[in-house]
Amino acid sequence: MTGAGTERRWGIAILAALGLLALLPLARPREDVLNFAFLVLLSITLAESWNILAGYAGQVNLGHAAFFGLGALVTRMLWSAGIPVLLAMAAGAATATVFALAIGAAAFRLRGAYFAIGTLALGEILRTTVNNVLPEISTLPAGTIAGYRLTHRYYLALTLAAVSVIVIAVALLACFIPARRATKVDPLVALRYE
Amino acid sequence: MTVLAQQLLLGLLIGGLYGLAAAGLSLVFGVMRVLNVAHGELIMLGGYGAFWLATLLGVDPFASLALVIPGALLLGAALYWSLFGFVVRAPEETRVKNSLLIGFGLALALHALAVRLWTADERSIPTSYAGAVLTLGDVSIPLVRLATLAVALVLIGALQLLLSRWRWGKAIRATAEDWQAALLTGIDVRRAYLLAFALGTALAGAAGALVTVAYSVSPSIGLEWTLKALIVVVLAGLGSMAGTFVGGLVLGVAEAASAATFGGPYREIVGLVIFVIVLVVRPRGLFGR
Repeated sequence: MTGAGTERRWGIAILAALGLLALLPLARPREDVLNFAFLVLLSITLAESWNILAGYAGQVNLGHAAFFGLGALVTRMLWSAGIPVLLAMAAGAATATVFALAIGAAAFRLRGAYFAIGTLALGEILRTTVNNVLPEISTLPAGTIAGYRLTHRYYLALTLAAVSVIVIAVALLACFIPARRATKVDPLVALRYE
Repeated sequence: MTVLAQQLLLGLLIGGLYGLAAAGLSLVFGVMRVLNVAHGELIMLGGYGAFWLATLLGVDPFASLALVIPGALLLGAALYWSLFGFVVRAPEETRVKNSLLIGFGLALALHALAVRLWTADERSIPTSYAGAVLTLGDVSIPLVRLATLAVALVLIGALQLLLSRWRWGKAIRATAEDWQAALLTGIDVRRAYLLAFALGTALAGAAGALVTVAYSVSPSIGLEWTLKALIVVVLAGLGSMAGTFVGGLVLGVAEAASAATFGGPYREIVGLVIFVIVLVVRPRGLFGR
């Protein structure tokens, strides 16, 4: 972090980009362009989620896909059972969170490289199990696909990406600002808060 | 009972290749503290090397090892100079992280390259002796797979000999133990790294050639073999090549036993579960120093 000015410029740039992205569906782009933008937004959310652990806590989690997959799995099962998609997604996220608590308890006994390969193995265990138990899971019934509206999903992904970026930015600032204030007191004291 | 014995035997035979695949990874990880997740892709490349030699030039797959191993040695050196040599300059904590990122990138690139060059089809090398079987009572041993086990054993033995007798082998071991102390005694640590990485890649190439003759190769086998190698490395621990080989055999037999008990699709999971348990309970590994 270099200073409040840079932070502010970055914040403005990100908000402006999000605003432009919000207008994208109004320009009636081709379906594949919109889909591409949708995937980019999903990647932003995913990258932010991975970055919390890898970037700020320094632990490389190679089994992150397991949580992504678990969310998708639960959402798909509830959704095709007739539950509204937003509720199903929330349930998927909650399941992944609970699972992460359980996995984290075991995986955080490991450090560094061993944490990385341990989580890689956990992810693979889950992938192989799900592939074996539910072989048809990655398909959707035709009716569901016909009723799919990409624009709605696009806005959903945009909201998710915006919320995750903003929450993490706020969390960072919440640490950074007190630390900077503390530098006025005594550099050695301030170091403890950085 | 016969079926079970047969399955366990086949597990033992593939276990030798697990051990060989893991030996290369173990060497690189132990010496450089770099986790090369593209190790499985290097195995895949070795397999395609043998495949090309067999189909284009008609070289016998076992004889092709004489070309695949030096080729892989050179490839390893090239990869060290172009990629991993930069990683080891970083302090030790960031090494693993950077090597993971580079390894994943390399794995993706090699996978795409293999699809380009050899298509996504599964390939194997047909030989005149592919069907030969040694019968012992009710159990039959496919000779090709038995030969791969023997070759794997010889290669591991040769590596062990290199590491214990050769000047630079000793340098590699010293670097693995404590690179700073090795540096202070005048060992060229960078060259030890280079040799360890090249040797590791050569072992991967040899393993790949053997996998292709006894089983099959396709561009997507990389991750599977990386995982097997990682499991064995963690199971056996760092520092002992013989231990790594035994670890490979243990994994092969454990997989076969679990496939016989729970059914084929779950063989992978049992290996991984053993892996996670060993990792949490005894991170040093069974034979680790």
